[in-house]
Amino acid sequence: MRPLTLLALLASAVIAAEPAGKKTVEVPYKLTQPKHILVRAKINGKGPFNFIMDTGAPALFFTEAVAAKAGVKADEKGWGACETFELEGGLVVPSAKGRVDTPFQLEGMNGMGIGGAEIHGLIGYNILARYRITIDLSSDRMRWTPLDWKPDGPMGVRNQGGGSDAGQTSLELMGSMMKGLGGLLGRKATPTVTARGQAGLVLRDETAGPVVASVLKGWPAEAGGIKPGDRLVMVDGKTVTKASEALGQVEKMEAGRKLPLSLDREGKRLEVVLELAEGY
Amino acid sequence: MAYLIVALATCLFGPGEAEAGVAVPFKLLTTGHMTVQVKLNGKGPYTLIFDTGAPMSIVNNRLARDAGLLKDRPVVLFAPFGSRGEVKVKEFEVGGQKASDIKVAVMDHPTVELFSKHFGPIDGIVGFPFFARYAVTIDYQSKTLTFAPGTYNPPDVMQAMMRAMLSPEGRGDKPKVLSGGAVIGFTVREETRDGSRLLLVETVAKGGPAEQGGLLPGDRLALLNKRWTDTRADLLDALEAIRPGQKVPVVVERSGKAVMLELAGAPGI
Repeated sequence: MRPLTLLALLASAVIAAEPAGKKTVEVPYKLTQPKHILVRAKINGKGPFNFIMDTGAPALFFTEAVAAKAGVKADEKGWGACETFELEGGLVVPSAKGRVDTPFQLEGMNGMGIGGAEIHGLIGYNILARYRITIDLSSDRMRWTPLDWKPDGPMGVRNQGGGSDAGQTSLELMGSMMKGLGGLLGRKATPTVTARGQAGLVLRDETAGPVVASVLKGWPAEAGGIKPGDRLVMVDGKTVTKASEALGQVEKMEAGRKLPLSLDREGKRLEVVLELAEGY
Repeated sequence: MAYLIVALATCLFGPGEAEAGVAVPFKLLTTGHMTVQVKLNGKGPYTLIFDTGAPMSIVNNRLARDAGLLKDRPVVLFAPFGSRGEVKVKEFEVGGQKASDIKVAVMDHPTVELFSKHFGPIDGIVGFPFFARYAVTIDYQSKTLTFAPGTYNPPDVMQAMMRAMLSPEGRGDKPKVLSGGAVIGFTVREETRDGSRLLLVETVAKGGPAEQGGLLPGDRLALLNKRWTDTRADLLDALEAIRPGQKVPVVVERSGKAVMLELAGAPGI
């Protein structure tokens, strides 16, 4: 079974359990460095792709590269229909249509996409309007509740008496409000990430300090001869009195780093140097 | 004054819970953009576009002059797009929701000018520095924005960007080390199958929390804490929010079937 089928199954199972169109879905997001709300979506099971949630964009936009990867073909007006458009968190947007537009509409965003997470598109009005959306930045998830209506458009400005330049103007208004300001807003959405290295020590806090509760088999602490019951005294040369302080000492250390530990075993001092390993 | 705005303090009832907040009506333009009525230091109302994709709020020079925002500023002879830098607005009011000390950039944004031409005076954009302070609910059907008290303290975006550009992490030559505050006890490997990336469990430490939770080598990690986990970077993002002692729902694909597990993160290093 291919991964996309599994997720599709899961999603449909979740939706079937609730009355159609009423279920609130928690959608995880990240804030990029320029404080854009970045959500991830899979189109036709491909991806995930990175989208900015943007009420300043009139529609869903994605790049030609994304359209090609997801097998979405744009019609002569530049709209592409997605078979499935699924946001992280399990929200499946029914019959989502988007503008396939790389060079013009996303030019401002490209400035932010260098390195790190690339921005593949924007989620704008034609998708957003179908949901009631709550954004609380103190939580790492938004809440999206499907609404019982079909929003119009977007229709552009052709009916606004725009005159001879209405066609071009309409196109320009169809972009993001922030288009062109990308250069001002930084070059990169999110930095690349790496995991901290692991020692494989499970700790519990006791009055005397953090005590080794267990040692993960095959992980560096076991190789270093640390045993359950040993009390952790110093991490990287600094005295620790709680498990959280021990974590604070190592949280910026990558795998491969040598980590000196001092422990107390039945009143005797034990000095160990571990090489932190990759793991979670 | 085009129209009078009535600000209502109402309660919106979502499914299963109630959210109190200040409801602010918005007008929907045919392009799908929403405009709100904004007063700055009691002056106005002015019509601005509400934009969750805007890292800063912007007002044009006409509004800035009218509201007296540039009183202490020297006249500038050359300013691209009429850019006059950032101004702190003592009282920034969107509908009935007042916020104090909100920074706005004064500039004549070309897209805003274009909107003005077609939809009547539109003088700027309400962006992140305002809405980030609230739990904001957007409802296009009832055409209201609801601002409930929030606890997020938005950083100064422009300053943060400057710092990011000067720091090694911002330049991208040094990755950011994410911790994931708990020990779970497994390792992974990345694979590509049918053009899709996926993450497979490689080893599970005997006696560790992952083993106790039923994780097996060969499992494909599909979801952790409801986040997609197709790459190591995804996994790190999902683990970042996990605290020691917290139980985390995990979905793995095992022999073609979805299996739901619950893993507990242990305190440790």
